[in-house]
Amino acid sequence: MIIVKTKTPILKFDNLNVIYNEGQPNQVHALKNVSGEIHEGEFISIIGPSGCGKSTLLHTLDGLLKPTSGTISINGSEVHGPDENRAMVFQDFALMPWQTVYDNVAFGLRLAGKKDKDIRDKVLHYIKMVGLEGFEHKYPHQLSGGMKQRVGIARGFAVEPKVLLMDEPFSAIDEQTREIMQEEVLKIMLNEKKTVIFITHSIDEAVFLSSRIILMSVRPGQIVDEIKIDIPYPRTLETKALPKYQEYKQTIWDHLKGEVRRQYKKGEA
Amino acid sequence: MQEVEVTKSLTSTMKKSTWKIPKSILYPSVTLLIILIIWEICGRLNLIDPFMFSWPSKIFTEAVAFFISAEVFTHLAVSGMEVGIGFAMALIGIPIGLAMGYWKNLELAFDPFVTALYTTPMIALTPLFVLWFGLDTLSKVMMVFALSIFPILINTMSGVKMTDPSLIKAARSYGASRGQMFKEVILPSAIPFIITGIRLAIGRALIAVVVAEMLAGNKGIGYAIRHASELFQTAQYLAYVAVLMVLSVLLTELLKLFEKKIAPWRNL
Repeated sequence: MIIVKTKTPILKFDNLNVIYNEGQPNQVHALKNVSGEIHEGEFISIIGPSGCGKSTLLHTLDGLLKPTSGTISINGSEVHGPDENRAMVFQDFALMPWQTVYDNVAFGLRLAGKKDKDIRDKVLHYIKMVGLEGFEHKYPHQLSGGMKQRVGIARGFAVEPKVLLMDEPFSAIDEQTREIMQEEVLKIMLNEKKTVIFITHSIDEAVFLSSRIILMSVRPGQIVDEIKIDIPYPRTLETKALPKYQEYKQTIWDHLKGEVRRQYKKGEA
Repeated sequence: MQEVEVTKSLTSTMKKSTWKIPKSILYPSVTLLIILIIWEICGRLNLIDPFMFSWPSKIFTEAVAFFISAEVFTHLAVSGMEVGIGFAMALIGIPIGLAMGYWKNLELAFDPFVTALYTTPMIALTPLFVLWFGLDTLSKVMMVFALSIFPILINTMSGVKMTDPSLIKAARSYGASRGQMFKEVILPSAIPFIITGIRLAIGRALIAVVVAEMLAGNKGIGYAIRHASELFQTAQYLAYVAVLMVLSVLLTELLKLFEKKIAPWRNL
């Protein structure tokens, strides 16, 4: 961990502010002075009460949203909009319904102008990685929620980004499938040595997956704390029975409780 | 997957033990048969005045007659050509609709007029079109065009506007350029709407050609209908209407097949 720290961060964001409808009566200060560094191989979860701007932060990091002020840099070079260094996995899957599993996974590569014969092996590799072999020619409507998100994850991996951004990827998936997906995602991350930023509102999910958790406050969204999860990988469902695991959950819950109370007082929850 | 296969084999065994014809064909066929039988009985019992109306066997005899004399085919050829040309011209509504759905300013500038023209019963303009374009083919072609362009245009436009914003977001996130956004997201998501527009337009195109031919002309199905009715050949007249009915059902079914081919992701 110490070695990682001395390296330059893979993703760095500095004093990000996002203000919607600036200068208008319905102005919303969504992110306030948000700074952070993400290092290679980290699995970061961002957690906070609903409406705290965690999705806004992720969209800003992807480049879909231009921050009102502040900078984002990846490996030292500044970000101006979406590029191949980051890929996003969406909460509502956002798969093209008219494309097969194969074409959806190939989506980012095709947009980058790559020819089908050049990307074929890569696409099939990632389809296999998420366990969808044999489903290449199925359409999204023929798949279950869990399978759809596997396609979403494979699509993200296929462009081989430096950082994978996941926006509450399992919140639209049923409980049983979610636990299996969490374990699988961890396995894939370890194999592929990918850096991940993961948005969730589930404390359990955050503790189980992350090497570090970023806690955010109610609006305007600020980073209020960071917690390192010192439980070695690989983690399995048995990890959840460890006393340490429960302690982490308790700590984060105590923290979130305070934030949610503050939100109640503001009459927003 | 196992479950799916089990249910599949279950339904196939069930099919074997009961019916081979799917319900979606069997049920309407039975309904149709019952109606035809009752109708025919009413005719045979002299409950129908052949001057005012007719019944299935009489209509069928007339139909057989004009099929044997090949008269129907000359009329069909003329009407078919008029609809074909007019409809092909109306497909210009697709690019116009795409543009209007994509550029908000174009929509703002033209949408009220498009809506007005769409909702106006433009069939009322037939005499004017005859005056402008003559008694021959051209006036019919123009009527077909005028009636069928708007449903195509309007549906295409709303298809573009209904594109799922989360798909647009995903495409943007994966670096889609403007052109790619159009080709990969907006156009495919508009296709089902375009097909719906074409389906509505087919109905209107048939109305246009028949009314225009009835009003002016000496060829085509519309003319044949008018001619038969003027001679009080009610059975023959209804036989031509039946031909039209069968034709529009066939065209609609053909379109459904076409849609399955180009939009297989839709759960039809």
